[in-house]
Amino acid sequence: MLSLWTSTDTRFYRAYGLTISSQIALPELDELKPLDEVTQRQVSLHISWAKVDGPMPPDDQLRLTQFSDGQAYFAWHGIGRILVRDHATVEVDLLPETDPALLSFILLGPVMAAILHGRSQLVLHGSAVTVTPGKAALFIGDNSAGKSTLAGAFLRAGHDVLNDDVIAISGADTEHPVVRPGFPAMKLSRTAIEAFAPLPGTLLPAVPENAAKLRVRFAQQTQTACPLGHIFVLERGPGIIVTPLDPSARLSTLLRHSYMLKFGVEPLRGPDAARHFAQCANIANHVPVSILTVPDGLNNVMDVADYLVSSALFQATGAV
Amino acid sequence: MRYVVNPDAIDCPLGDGVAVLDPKNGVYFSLNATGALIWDAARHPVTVTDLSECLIKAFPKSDADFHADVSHVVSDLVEAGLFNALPHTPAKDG
Repeated sequence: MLSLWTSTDTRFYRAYGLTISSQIALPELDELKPLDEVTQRQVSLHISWAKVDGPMPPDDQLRLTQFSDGQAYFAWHGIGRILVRDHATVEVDLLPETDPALLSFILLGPVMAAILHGRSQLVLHGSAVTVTPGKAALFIGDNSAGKSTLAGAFLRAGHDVLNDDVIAISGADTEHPVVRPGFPAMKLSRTAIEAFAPLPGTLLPAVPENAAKLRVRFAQQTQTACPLGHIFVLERGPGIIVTPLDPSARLSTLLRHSYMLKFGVEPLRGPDAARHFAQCANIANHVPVSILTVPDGLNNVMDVADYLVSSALFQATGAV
Repeated sequence: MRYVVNPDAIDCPLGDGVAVLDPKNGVYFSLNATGALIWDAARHPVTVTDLSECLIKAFPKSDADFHADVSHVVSDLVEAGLFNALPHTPAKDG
């Protein structure tokens, strides 16, 4: 008998403004009630089990990613193969003996990033929160810069976490770019969860059991896109210091934190280069970007959240 | 030698200047307001002298060595593939 995880029953979800039908359970997402026939036609992303042919990564690499016209192909050692067609259908071929619970990390991380990029969103790697009503902050930065931890501090303080890991910016070619809410879950280290307790929400089972980070499932307060107020590049330092960047430095920063770079794809080459470059330049023109120096220590992270909420950065409107 | 913007290059306004990209090799530059004047002037083939005169007109009170500055910028843009260098064609007699 099939377990819940490998059932071919279809469930319906919403994430990043997409209505999703999936044969694979995605516990991070709010499940929609069974859809009527008319609404089912509005499904914008279909995820299903299928036989997927393609190469596996070289032995010295964990993941293989290939992009071609309208298609994205992923293969992971120890997991399986995934094919995305036309940014609208996802076919998943799991290797035998693989825990299907691992799939939601992949589907909601790199696979979703590729889909959103293909749908002309500007996709960055980081976290996004609402700081004041109707104004979002993005946190980008290198690995271990504390992006999710700072977002967790905002969650603890009662703010909405819009995105964790995959940030989707809509209207990136307009004067008023917005952050589209992703889904109501984020990954936090066990120490951060302990320090921020009680966090609003529940913990999903650890996958694998000894995972360093756990998934926190919370109630997302907003389903509507939130205007992008400020982008912060997190760095470690002795105190809370905000250093504004000029447009040229903003552009290079945005390009450096594009999610597509994680695939080893150079986003400034090929058919999407013009669009991606123009989107980053437009954001650099219209959204302030600053380096935010954050001191070490989880207690200090709460202070950073308080500082940003009360700072004048979120009182002003428009470009700086 | 005359120079012209690579027709495949992409340019976008950036602050008071312009950001330019060659999508074939992924190289991009952020040009300030003066660089943006050079970029705009080179949408049609121009010499370094033409570009220098363009800047002298734009900044008549400046004592900058525009010819040297323009030569430097043009050299960088050619190396990056963002400017194409064209052989100078002498004007035909009468």
